[in-house]
Amino acid sequence: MGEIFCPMCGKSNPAESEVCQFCQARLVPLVFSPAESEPPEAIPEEMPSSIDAAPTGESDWLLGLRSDEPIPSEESLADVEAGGLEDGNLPSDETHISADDVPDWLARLPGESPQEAEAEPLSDWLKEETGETEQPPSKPVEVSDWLSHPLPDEGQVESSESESELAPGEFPSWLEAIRPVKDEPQTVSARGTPERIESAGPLAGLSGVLPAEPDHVRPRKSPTYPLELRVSANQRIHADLLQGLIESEGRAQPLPQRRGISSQHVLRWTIACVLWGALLWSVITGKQEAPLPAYTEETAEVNRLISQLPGEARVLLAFDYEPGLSAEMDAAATAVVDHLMLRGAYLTLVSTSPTGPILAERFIMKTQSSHHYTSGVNYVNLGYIPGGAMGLLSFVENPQRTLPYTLDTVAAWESEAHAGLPALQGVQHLNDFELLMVIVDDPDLARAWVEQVQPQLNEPDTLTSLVMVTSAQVEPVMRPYFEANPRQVHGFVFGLRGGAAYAQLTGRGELPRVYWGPYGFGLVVAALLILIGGLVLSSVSLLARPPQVKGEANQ
Amino acid sequence: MKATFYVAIAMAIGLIVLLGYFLHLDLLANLRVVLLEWAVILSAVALLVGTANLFYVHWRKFTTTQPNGFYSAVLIISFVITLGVVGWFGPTHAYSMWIFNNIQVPIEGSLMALLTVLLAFAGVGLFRRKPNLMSIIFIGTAVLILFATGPLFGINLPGISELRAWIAQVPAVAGARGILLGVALGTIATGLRVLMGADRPYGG
Repeated sequence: MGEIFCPMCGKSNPAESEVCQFCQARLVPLVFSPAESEPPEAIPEEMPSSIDAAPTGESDWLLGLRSDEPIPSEESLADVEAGGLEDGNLPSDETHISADDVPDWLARLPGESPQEAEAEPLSDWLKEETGETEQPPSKPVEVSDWLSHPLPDEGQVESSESESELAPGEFPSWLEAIRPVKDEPQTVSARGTPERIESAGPLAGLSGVLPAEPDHVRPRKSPTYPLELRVSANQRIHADLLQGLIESEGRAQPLPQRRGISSQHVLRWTIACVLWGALLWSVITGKQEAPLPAYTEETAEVNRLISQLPGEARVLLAFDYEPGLSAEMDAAATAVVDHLMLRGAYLTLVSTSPTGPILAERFIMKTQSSHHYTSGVNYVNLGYIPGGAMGLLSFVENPQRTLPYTLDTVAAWESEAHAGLPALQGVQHLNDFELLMVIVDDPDLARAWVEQVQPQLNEPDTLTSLVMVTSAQVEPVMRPYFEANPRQVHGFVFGLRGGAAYAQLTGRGELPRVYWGPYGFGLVVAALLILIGGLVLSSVSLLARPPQVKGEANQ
Repeated sequence: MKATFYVAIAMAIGLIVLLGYFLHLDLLANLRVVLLEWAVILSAVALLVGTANLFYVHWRKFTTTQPNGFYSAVLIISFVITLGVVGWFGPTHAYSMWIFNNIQVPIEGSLMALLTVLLAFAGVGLFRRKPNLMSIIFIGTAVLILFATGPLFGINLPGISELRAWIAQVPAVAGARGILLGVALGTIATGLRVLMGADRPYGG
């Protein structure tokens, strides 16, 4: 079954469809068809009566314009005017329509037959048409001029066809212009291409007219292009190279063959062995005991603040470092926390790191076991504060709601229903702590603590101090806060050096004393390695370069 | 429409929290506390989701027998054991502390020790790779700080402690102050851009 595609919406329609089922666009070009034309309702007066007579040489298209129906004669028209419909009769025999020709809709109309007309009264509108209504006599009907002009009857028309001596009618200018040019040669456009001559419709015969439906919207089979590209040899080489590159992306490249022992391997192992050897020798022999460093101003300030704490002071202790740096941080904080415990301070432990709470427990058990601090009595571990700086701010704003329970899921804070743990009795806000101490290894975390906590401590009548125990890398970041006026950090201890200095101050703290000697020995060995190794390697490298490279380097 | 809704929420919440700093009104303070609590809860949930996603990724890698799936199996086994022990006995129980003290702390400490060796190796190779003035200054400063930080076998070199203190308190602090000022200005600019809807880190 054939199908045709709509030029407008592109959808498929049956081949016999004239309009698209979807968008109602016309599928078949509109061509004038004599069979579909209706009889002319009127003939202009100027039209010669012999128009039906085809003159010699008249083409078919013009004949098609003629009505197939016979033109009513003057008498029949007069009968119509005289109310021929009053009787229900049709005007004449020539215009009589047989019962077979009557369409259904017309057959159903009342009054079609005389019997039915008698049986059923005429409707009002029909009475008006037929003049049965009792209306005042209307004015005489004025017949137009063209209608009053006598028309030839059928016999006359037939006779006129046979009269060859009749002169052909004169066509008006507009009709003359659209006469077919069947016999005329094909015109040529200005571009030299033959112009299209319309073959159908009212514009049939005209050349150079714009088509009703442009060619580009007419459905046609898409052209077929050859699949094989024409490439040159050079292009082929480039394409193969690109293809190889793309394919190699997904392929695992074999690792280059390792040489047995390279100079880099030797150097790396040498450095590692020297460092390990130095530290092991120092730890095993214990001969690297060195005097503890002198304390500095910021360390002394921490010592002073702790020494001034009242008995059973409430201290908030934050453990914000990672397990990887626990050796340094434990050594730095041991002497300071030991001092706090000596003062009998109640400790509240928090952390903004997920591993911080366990590190805090480990620190208490490992380094401060001599104080016999008990969880829930002497100290309370409130656990992890999620949310980073936001969580820290929330804790500063409302510590009871941010961390309501201990690490052992015990209600920590004092309330009406609960007395609260001893470490938190009398504590409602952050300002109720006598001291805030943050043990931190990261500069950003240290900055977050200072920036979030310090505004709370600036309120009047606040005696809470903020001190820090940091790794050595945080020292440059903390010092501006310490040197500010007023101080935003009231004191800090940095690294193993600071912890050892604090141990020097208090005379306690075993861990920094143990670490201090091997630590210094390892630092010196590392410095010598870098210095001597760098000088030797750079000298060897300079000597091993060819003279040409040396000249380029100088340039 | 959605984007406008997101921007409106972000701006409103940001303004409420910001105004809470400056205006001491009970309404603003209460709203601020509630919003911060929501943020804390969401952060905690995000941590749980991240942990579950980690487990799922490695589980899929293990079950589909991808390369290095053995390491995923090790992670899954460690994850399940740790979760079981800590969840059953509690985070401060002796078993939980044993896992932490004898597995996690040594592993992370070993990584830091490796970093020490690699830094020393990089310092040795720096002169050979880039023998220029900046390398000399860099290595010279590092060596000086290393010498002056430790006890140096009990030898007290005159002036070295003062030089170390000057480096740590003047050039280093100057750089740190510059960084802090830059961070502060950047934070203000970023906050204003988020408040005005120019930056939309929340999407939309």
